[in-house]
Amino acid sequence: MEKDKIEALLEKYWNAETTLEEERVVKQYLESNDPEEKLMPEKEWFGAVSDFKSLEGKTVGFSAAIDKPLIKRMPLAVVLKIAASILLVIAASFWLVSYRSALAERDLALQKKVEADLFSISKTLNQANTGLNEIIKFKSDVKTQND
Amino acid sequence: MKTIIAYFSLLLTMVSFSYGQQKPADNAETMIDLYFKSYSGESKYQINTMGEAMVKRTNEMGMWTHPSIARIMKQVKTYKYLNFNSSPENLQKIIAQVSAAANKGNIYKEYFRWETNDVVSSVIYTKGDKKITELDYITLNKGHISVSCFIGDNIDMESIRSLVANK
Repeated sequence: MEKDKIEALLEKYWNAETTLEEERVVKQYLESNDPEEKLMPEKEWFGAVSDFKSLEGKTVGFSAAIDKPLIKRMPLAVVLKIAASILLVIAASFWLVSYRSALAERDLALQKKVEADLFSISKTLNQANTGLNEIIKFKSDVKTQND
Repeated sequence: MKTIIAYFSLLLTMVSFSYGQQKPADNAETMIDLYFKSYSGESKYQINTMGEAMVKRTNEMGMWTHPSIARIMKQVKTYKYLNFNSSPENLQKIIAQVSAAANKGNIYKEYFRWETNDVVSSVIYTKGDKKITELDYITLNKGHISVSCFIGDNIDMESIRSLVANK
């Protein structure tokens, strides 16, 4: 009798027509009794539903074995120190190159000044010689005219 | 932090080395040091020195544009030049003062003076009797004075005079 009633309730259940009370009766029957083989799929179904309900509200975590990366993640402070050092080296290199370039320009200017000075002195000394020769020639001409 | 300090130390070493290259090795007093320091307040007063190391390096690298200049510069250890601006009248006074001081001091001898209508345009001074150890060339032009000092052990004046002829 009870078995017939359960089968009827199961039919209602699969048609989604049972009440919560009727579902509870079916569940209790399947849990407490050892149903015949025909009802075994229903028993497993209600067992699974029960398991899912027990998990309700809990966080399910999944874990997987992940290989550690070869390079460990560096702390921000270390990264900043390295970046600052690289920037410092780059800035120093640029400064040194521009400083060297300025020095080279100054050296070249000094070199040209030396050469210009030497030519100027040479020109002045030659003018002095020319001037003296002209005076000597003038004196010589005057002497010849007087003679 | 240690790395940064190390970088700074390295930089400072390099900078001091760079500056050290430009320092004249010979600190002997030149005509500029003796007679022109008192005019340091004049406009655009500037002294440049080509130290012994720099002259030597320029000689060794063959950087002079003419072989005759290279030959002369082998006799020179240090080159120093000064320039500044002042009124033409004031520059004539300065030249007169320097000339008086040079005559009084008996260190420098006037080698040549170029004067037109009582206006001096250039003066050459030498130091040393048998061997010329300093050659000074003063030029004046429109409110601008330039003093060039060549310091060496034995500067040959004839080599310098013949420079224009050999060019």
